[in-house]
Amino acid sequence: MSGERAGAAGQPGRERPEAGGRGEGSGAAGRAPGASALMLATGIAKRPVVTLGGEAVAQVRDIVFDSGGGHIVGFTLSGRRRLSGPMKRSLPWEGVYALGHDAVMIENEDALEDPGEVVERTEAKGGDVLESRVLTDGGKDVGKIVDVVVQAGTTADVVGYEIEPGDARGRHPRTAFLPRAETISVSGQALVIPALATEFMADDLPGFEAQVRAFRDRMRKGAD
Amino acid sequence: MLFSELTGRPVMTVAEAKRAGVVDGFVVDPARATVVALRLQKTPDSKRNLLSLSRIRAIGPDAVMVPDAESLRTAEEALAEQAELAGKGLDLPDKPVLTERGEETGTVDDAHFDPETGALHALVTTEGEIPGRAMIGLGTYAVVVRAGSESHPVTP
Amino acid sequence: MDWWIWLVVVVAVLVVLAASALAVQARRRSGGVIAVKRRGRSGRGLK
Repeated sequence: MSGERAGAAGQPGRERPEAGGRGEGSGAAGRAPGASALMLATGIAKRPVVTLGGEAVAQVRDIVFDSGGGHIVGFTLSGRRRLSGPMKRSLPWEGVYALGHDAVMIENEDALEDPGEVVERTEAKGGDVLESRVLTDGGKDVGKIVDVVVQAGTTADVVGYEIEPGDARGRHPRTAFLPRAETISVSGQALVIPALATEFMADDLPGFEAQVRAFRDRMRKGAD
Repeated sequence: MLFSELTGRPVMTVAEAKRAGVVDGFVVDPARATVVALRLQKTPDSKRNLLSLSRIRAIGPDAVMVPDAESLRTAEEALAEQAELAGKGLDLPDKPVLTERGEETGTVDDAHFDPETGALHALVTTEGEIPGRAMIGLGTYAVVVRAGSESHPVTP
Repeated sequence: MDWWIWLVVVVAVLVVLAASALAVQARRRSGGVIAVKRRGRSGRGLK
């Protein structure tokens, strides 16, 4: 059915179309602001996983990312039916053709792997960052993580967190966005970030993109 | 010709001048951007409801003419005759359109095709027209099109 | 006691069961955002 197409279309193969932005690799230089490919992780969850042949084979359950570099390593899946539970298959990032706002595209069902390829059961248990408290390395409680900001392109990276401040008396009465720091420790209960990151918070996603860049620049200078 | 123009048109046999069915749907091969068969309803045998484009004698303004009722095929027979994708749920109209990037751009309203060759010229969607050749896949969930093909304005 | 009390009790129990089944199903399907440590990734984590 698709044999002929491959030739005609120019086999898409491994080169993925970019979803808006350029990956993290291109850094701060030359990236048009506004063409934001930032999305929230809770929005990715429940998105259908669709083959290029137009079949929905699963929906996203967990988003799994590497706490060191922030890269999304893959997704765990649940079935598409109302009564279906977690699936015994998972989707590593290598199998993702594109991460869009309405679907996660894969070439075909061969992209799905055994769950252990993405996350071990034991890792998954304590690793959920939603609802975690955020503490600075100075010992200040910044708030609770309510969502995670993902930048999607040829790679997808966790670039920050949406947090709900612990006390309403704080400077950010509503939720705010906090850049993800490279030095980070995560446990089931809390997440420790450098205090510097709290200086680069933003109130909304468009403003957040600039803050993430500014924060990265500062971290880079600090490291030199 | 539009899908909607042909839908509902009766299919008549030349040999016996009997009604062999009514056009109900279109079997599309997304890889070749071609209509390979018509799906009929009200056929004498409800399972033999597929009519390959190559079997059609003529598409007239009031009826589609076929040699005889033997021209109709079951899904299995059509499969054997290379008119694959005869399965259910693969109708274009009302199907959501997804780009290969995973962005939805409306649903399919109608489609332009060449009744002689079956070539699918364009999908008419709620958000504009998409060239038929931009189609990558057609499944039960969505029709997937190449990214960048979705922004064609509706032709009057 | 009035007989219809039992009818009310049975209906209440059914409602509770249905609600909890729905809640369990929602939990099974809804996921989270899981942080994992991946070794062999250039060790950029500790700067």
